[in-house]
Amino acid sequence: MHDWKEAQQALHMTQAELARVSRLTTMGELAASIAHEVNQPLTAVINNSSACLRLLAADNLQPEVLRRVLEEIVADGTRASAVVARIRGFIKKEPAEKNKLDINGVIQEVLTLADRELYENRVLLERHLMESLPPVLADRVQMQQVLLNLIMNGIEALTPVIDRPRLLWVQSRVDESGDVQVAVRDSGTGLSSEAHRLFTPFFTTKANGMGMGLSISRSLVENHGGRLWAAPNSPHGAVFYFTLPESGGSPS
Amino acid sequence: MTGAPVVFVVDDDPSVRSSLKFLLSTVGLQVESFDSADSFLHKKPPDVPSCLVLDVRLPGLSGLDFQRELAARKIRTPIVFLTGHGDIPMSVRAMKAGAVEFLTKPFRDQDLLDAVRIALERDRGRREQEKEITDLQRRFDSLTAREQQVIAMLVSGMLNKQIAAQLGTAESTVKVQRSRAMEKMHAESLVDLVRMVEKVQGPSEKAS
Repeated sequence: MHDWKEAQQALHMTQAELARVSRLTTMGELAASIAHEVNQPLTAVINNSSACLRLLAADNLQPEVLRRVLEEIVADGTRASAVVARIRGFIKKEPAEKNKLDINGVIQEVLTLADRELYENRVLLERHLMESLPPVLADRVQMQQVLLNLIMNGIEALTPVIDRPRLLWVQSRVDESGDVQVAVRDSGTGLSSEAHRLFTPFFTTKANGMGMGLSISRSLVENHGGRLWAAPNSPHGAVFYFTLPESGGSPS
Repeated sequence: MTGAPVVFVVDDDPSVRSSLKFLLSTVGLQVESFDSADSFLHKKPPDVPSCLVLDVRLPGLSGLDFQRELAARKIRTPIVFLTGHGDIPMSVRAMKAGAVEFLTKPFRDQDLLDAVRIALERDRGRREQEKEITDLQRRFDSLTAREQQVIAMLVSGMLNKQIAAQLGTAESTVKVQRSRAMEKMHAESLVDLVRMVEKVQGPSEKAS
């Protein structure tokens, strides 16, 4: 009995650690776009400030010019800090903090983060988000991670596609049992014959994948009382579903 | 030739665009900005020295594609590239294709201003050279067919006597045609004339 408990504990710790690693991997993948997002406003701030210093040195800085430029500097600083605030949620290493969440809001946040990736890989995105979904009881950051993982996987499955549009659908709805269901559907390369192993830790079909993304995503969803599964999409690609019980349901 | 130079800024980020415009204006430069390569290409370039300050990562046509497109259209405006991340292979490609500078955002204001100054100087030099060649070409075209023939023979190293013999005319006639041609070309000497013809036609083979 004791051994079993210890083993269980060890497993949990490994999973937590792996989750952290995968979070960092995802961060690495996104680092370039995030750096770009922060760098742009910083560049504008530095240019504007340098220009003001030059005019000041030449005793040629008009108050109206200064006011306009300072307003721009404030706006750009705010923009940079908004990007930082958005990514901070991804870096935090905290236990699940379950709150009433609008999953559509989480979807929008993650799509904003994945925006560059979608654009650079020429992926066309379609959202079908059901309005006035019931809230779910979930950890915002963990749900962001699950969604980001599914979306990045979708993008990767689409990049080899050259003979048809690269389509990615993100859908939300209430399913037959009243749970909130999210689907990430792509017109990509589809599931391999080893699809039954998708959720096995360290199973990967990617050249530089760790094979942890889906297994961690599944355990995160299951920790919320939900389910995560995959199915082939017709005529091409794959679709990943996950469900979360609505917050009014059983106490967690 | 002496019109005020223009700097074209192409960046999809409005904040960066307006800050670049402001910074360049502090040294008295005139700036026109564009949000994409396409909108720049739709504009007819003015007849003054100019350069481009270009973000590598543009929507639509990327910075490097844009550089290639300009080369294909024989638009030789010098380019200062800006990039969000120090991508070395990309910068090597850009520099090999003739970029003036490759700056990583954010950059020191002086570095940008120096790069722009060099780019404008380069463009000014290029425009002067091109103007000289067009002028020479126009002068060369104003020569008669026979004068052009005589010049070609002179440039190839033949003597008046040899030219006269080959054309079947008197040496004095060749002399007259030669001096008339030199006058029309504004050539001070035979060496000067050879240099001009080479500029218009490319180096000729010397007769030994």
